[in-house]
Amino acid sequence: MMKIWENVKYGLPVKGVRIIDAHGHCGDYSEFYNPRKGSPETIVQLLDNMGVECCVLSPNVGFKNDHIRGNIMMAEAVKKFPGRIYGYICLNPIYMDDMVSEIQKYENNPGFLGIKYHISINKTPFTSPKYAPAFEYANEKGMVILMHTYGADALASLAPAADKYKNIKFIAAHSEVGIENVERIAEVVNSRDNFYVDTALAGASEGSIETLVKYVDTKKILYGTDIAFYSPNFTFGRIVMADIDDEVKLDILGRNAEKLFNI
Amino acid sequence: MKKIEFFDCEASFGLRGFKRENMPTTKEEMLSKFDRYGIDYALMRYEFANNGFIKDGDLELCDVIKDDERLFPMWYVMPHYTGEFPTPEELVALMKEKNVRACAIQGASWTVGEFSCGELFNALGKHKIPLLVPISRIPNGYSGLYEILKNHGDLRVILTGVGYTSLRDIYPLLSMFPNLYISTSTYKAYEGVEDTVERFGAERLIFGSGMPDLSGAASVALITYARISDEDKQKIASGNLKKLLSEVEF
Ligand SMILES: [Zn+2]
Repeated sequence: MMKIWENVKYGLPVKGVRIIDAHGHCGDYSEFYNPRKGSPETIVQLLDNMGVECCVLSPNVGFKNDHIRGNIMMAEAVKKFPGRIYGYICLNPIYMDDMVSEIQKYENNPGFLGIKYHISINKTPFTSPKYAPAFEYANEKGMVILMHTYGADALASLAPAADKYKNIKFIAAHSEVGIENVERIAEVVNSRDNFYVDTALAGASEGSIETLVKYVDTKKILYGTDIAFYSPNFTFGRIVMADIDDEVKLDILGRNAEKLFNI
Repeated sequence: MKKIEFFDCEASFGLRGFKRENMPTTKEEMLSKFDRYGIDYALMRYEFANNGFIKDGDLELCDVIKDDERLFPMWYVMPHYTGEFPTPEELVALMKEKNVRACAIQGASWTVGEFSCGELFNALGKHKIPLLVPISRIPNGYSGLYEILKNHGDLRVILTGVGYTSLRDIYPLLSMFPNLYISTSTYKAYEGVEDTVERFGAERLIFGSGMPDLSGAASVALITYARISDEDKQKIASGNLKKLLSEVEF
């Protein structure tokens, strides 16, 4: 592979490499000002700007207040940009009675690739029985679930669910938070076939991705940027310019997600 | 196609009590990362001045980087009342002697406020010496910053730590205070660079890597992939900082 990181210095799209962003958001978010309101149109423009093929998003309104409304918005974005924008079905254990029916609404839509929960908003620990109806259903269907985790403790608290529901492929987000605890993160991820992590993080420190790759099974690391929650540009640069093996980089940028999502 | 020239306003080096694995801390490690990411020049702060002995550390910094044409000193400053640190006039004289054209608020637990720093801010403002200020060091955050800028309209502040959630706070301040600049190291809102340039011009953003606490590659890509003109990218990447440093009046 040519030194693709040179493209970052010039702000050029990276061509000839399949890049899949496994963790993003769409739509506006009330907590802070988003200049482009996280619009699907700008998301696709930014993907083109970097040379990213597609991204998998969850609707911000879905976890902030109304998951049903969020999923409708997500379905519209997916329909508008097939093959560029995919969605996660947004669920909330607070409203556990409609979790399965929400999955059923979208599970046959090829634009949806999994389920997303946001624990820092719904404040329901992963060990809570409130998740059970959705986990059981997802386990039967072998679905992917992206979990917002922040730090090694949160990530490790997802392990019992991964052990119980072995057909669900769990992605623990923001795995570089507290990278100093990487050995603990590696222990959880490397010993479970159905446990993945992503790279989305606004404040990653210098050298962090190199450390993650050193300890964590590199087939389980997915490129994710939180696109449209904040800029995707900087995580893109951080991964593409990382001082890691080129084959590992290709796995992280797209090949691992390609296999996981079967796209 | 010409590579954008990068001049980093927010980098430091030197051993520290805690560091993460793979985090560069020596001057040589930092320079090798700069090469990898295409960072051409940097204002450097020195950990020995920040976490050790501020005056000794600042002076030592000038010595340690004197042969590096890409590196320029940025001194840590603090109030002088305890006698640990020069008075504002002595400081400016020393900066002139050593040709140090920028400084930064030191990271210890003293309070950044009018009562402690008013005289220092007056001196820095008078000589147009830019001051790097982390928003986390100002009591009451953006409200506290508003008070400082209201009292010291000529003080050139390069604010660090402005996060992607802070545009509602930073836009009013940018519109009120022309001498307020933002380091881009944490300025990561979704098209936040683009929106800020549209509203306030490219002149108000200054490239900062935040290395080694933050990723240098990330900070470079935030600018190179911004959807703004090449001319504006160049201003943010190095032009604005060069201009500020050239305008220092000793
Ligand atoms: Zn996210």
